[in-house]
Amino acid sequence: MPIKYVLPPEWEWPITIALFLAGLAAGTYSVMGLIHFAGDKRDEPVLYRLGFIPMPIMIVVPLLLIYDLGQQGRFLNLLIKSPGAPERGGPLMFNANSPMNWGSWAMVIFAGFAALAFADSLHQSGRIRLGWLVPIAHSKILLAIGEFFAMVVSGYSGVLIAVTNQGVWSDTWLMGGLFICFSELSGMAVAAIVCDRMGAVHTAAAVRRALFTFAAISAVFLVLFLGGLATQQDGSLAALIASLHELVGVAFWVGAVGLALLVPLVMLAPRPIVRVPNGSLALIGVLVLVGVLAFRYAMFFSAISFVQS
Amino acid sequence: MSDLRGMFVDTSICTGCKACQVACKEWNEMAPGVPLPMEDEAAVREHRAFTGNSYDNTSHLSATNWRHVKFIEQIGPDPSSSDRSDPRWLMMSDSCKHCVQAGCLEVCPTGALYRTEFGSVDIHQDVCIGCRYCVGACPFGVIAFNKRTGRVNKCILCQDRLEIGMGTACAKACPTSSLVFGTVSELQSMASDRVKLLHSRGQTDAYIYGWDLGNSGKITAGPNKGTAVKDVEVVGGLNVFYLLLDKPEVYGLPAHASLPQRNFVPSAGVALISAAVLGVTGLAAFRRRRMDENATAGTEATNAN
Ligand code: SF4
Ligand code: SF4
Repeated sequence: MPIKYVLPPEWEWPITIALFLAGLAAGTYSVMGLIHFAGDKRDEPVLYRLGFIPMPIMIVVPLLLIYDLGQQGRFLNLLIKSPGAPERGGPLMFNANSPMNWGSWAMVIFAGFAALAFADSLHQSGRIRLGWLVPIAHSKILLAIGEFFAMVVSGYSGVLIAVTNQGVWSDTWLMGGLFICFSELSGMAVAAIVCDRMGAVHTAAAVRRALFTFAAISAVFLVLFLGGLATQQDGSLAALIASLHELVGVAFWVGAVGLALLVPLVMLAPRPIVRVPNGSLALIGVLVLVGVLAFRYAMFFSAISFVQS
Repeated sequence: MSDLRGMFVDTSICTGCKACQVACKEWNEMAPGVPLPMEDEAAVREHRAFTGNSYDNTSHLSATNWRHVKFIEQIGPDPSSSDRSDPRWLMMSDSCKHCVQAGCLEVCPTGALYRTEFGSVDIHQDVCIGCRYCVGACPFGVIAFNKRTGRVNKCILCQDRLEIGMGTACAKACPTSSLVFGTVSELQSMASDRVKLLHSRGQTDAYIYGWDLGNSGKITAGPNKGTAVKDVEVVGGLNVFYLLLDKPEVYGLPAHASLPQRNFVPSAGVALISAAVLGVTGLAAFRRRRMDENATAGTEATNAN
């Protein structure tokens, strides 16, 4: 067991859910980017349906964070320099050394892109005429920038927990990559559900393939992550395994490994390993989403419970 | 930077009287805290319960214990043995180290943690949002979340006293001069002289934790007897530093503390690579579909011909 001297940050469920939702919104936006850049006309119904998803989520996320912090005003100290901190220059709060600060700004900027996608979807659905917005919403440069911020939102919480002195979290460089993988996986799972509900067979073909590929990449990252911990002199892997008991263990093995990875890998393999009945893509998507939430939970609470024990 | 203020903690003369801990509580108006039963799991986790394995019942620094006198009870080489003929008690008055490179301060996203004109690390309580990021970043487990206020607390080197030319309350209360307040450069030379004096008297286990002042020796008693020790500079230096008589781990101090920032660029780099891999494979999934469709259309056209 590594001897660690740190105290656990005692983050609780609102943070876990907020970061899962932020990853889900960012992942969904990323799928929209893929459709914009490599899809065709027949993907547009799914594209515009997906456009309704990220923005409402990005409204819920700060509400959860505010709930966790306990006071609405406090949240603003992440973005606007408080008069109580005169050492910092400028009107805005930015600490380049703090991934939490990077992430807060990325979320704010990403929320703007999510709002743009939402407005575009409203226009495309014919509910509100916003024709002037279409060239902006479909600008390839803006979409690429939006994709970048979506990726930052997907992965910053992984980088954030690596930039600590907590056992396991800080013993690897793969946390950010791992979190991006699972966020993108959740976005593709949302796309799978939407395709299935809309009967969008054409889009579903690509989504099935992408979901399988993302699960495979996530599995590789997870193996590299565990392998990397195993090479640590101070027994980080043993510490992680030891912390995977009770609910955290179920979340990791059943949720993250079973539902988020094995379900799509087995059920969506190019040469099917099991016969997947028609209409099961939505179910696979739901299982993957549950698995990704479980992954977030296991990652946050394994290290914390290890420190506490 | 001769104006930097700090403290030299000489554990060789600490008697564990806890006067410093009481003085800290009194000056900073913190409740004394009555230890709760060991059966209370939450209390144990929050260091508010009887430890059951030590005469020390504070057990850890916390949001309401900014200073903590550690009792390290070494009852012979085998703690399970009934032979108690060669016991050793080490005492250490612990607090925030006011690190020269402070992990807590580096990660704070609001500017609540700041470096004072004295080189210490203080907290703007009204700016702190209670995000607890600094808690996991401090390599020493010092800064702690206060559930009552929803903010973090730690030793602030008596900033209010320093501003009016006074020293720290704990050092003032210490009856043995185990805690000495002063400028860091003066304290370093005092520490070096003290180590040399102890070595000349045969106590060769004394060394400095926090700065490398060039001392080395061998542990003379306890389970680590014979182990070589030497001065160790930690995270660029500690403005509150220690004279120790055993390995740092024995005092609950990391032998090699590191800044959380060591992981920032590599982790962000790996994240970017994974984003690129996912982006390319995601695009490929949509493009492959088009190729499959073209291939199917081609086959159908050939068959039709
Ligand atoms: S000991 Fe911890 S809380 Fe104190 S300055 Fe260093 S990093 Fe910050
Ligand atoms: S809990 Fe307060 S002091 Fe600590 S990082 Fe967050 S805002 Fe800064």
